Amino acid sequence: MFVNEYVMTRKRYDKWAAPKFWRLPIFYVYCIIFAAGTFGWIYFHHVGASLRWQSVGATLSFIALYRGVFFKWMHADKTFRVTRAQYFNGKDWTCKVMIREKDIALFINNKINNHVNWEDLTKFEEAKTYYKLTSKDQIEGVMLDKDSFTEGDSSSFKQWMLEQHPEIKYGPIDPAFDK
Amino acid sequence: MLLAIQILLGVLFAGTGIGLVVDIGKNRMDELKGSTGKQWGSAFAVGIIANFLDTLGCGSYAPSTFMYKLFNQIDDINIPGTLNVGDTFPVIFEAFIFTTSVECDPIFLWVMYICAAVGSFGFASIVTKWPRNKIRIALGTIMIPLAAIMLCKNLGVGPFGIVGTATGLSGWKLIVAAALNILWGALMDIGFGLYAPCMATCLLLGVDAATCFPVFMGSCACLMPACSIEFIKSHRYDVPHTVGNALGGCIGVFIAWKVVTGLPMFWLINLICIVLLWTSYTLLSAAKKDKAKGIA
Repeated sequence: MFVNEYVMTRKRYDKWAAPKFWRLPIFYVYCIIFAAGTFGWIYFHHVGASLRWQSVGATLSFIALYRGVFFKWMHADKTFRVTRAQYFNGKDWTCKVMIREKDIALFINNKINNHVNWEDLTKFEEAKTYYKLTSKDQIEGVMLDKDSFTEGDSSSFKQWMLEQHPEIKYGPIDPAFDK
Repeated sequence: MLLAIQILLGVLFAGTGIGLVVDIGKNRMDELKGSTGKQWGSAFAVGIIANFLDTLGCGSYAPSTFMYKLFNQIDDINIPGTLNVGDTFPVIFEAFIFTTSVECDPIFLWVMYICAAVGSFGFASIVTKWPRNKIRIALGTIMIPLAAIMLCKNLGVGPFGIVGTATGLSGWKLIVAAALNILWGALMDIGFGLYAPCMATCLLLGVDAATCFPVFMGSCACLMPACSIEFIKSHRYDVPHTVGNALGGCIGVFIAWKVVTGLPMFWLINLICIVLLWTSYTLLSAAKKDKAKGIA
């Protein structure tokens, strides 16, 4: 039916797992915290306030910058590197997704890794360069690269999904992940 | 202005809690309502005691796990998630109250926080290959002379000088502290607590004993919420124990804060020496247990 095969590289993992931080609503909360923290730090330094209040400003600005900008990417990057080191001898791994009538089979480095039943899927999301089939637990998802179909192609897969599985809700992916 | 900053810190605290509250409200309300008094009692007791010890620098994971097993009110599979999610709040609270109550150079704090984050994220794939038991033995062994040196400094005995009173570090001392905090941050990825080694590093480099607290607490507060998000998403936590840990933990932290900031410096440093020795004991005994089981 449809086969999607790609190599999971650091770049690909980061692209799929780390959102665009500026598209997340929480980013603007962190912007306000950063501004207040930095202002507080400078202000307390300027008026000669005690170090403890300067520290509060510094800590706030650090947390806002770190959590608002770097954190998601750092976390995704670390997860990829630890997974690669622990399970794949420090090498990138190949993923093969076979879309079948009954289920979806996932192969990693040409060995069967998992089966996903159609009834376990709740959402079919489309991004600029990939599709995501989200499972019930909302954590794991089957990822398909639009340019990596070795059997079938991207547009016929989408057409097939909409016709064969109308029960799986179709829609655009969260803008933060639309890459 | 001070009030505004305190409110903002509250926002940060609440922000971390939103995920938990939303998840409980949407998916786990029945568990919350159906919790027994015994479960709540166990949850609050563990939260208060473990986080009291955590604030003193002993860490909270080991005592919490011990007490969970003792009270037998929680499934083993939910323990890691409960610890991670529940302890995130007391740790942020710790960082908050110690930053606002202890003198500390802001630049020093920034450097130490960045280094802990760089260590935890940048070196994770390297340290996961390191032999855990050998590191336990090395760290456990080195903490004994470190505690002895600190004790001598505190008593003014021997050639080690006196205890430091610096609110921050600069020059080569800052470079050494930063490099070691990268290492301590990285070792967190394989289950080593950052508190005791970070505390020993700062003390030996001449930082005031009370000033060490916001350094290691802030370092951990920045790293901890990473795991919590995953556990909340996968519902792998026990609801009453997480809530009890979060609320009771903040009470435990508050009590410990009163103890730490109220103690004369002489006794605070003695307390830190006991914490270092306790950490040494836990590391060495864990290494011994794993060795007996044949785990490297």
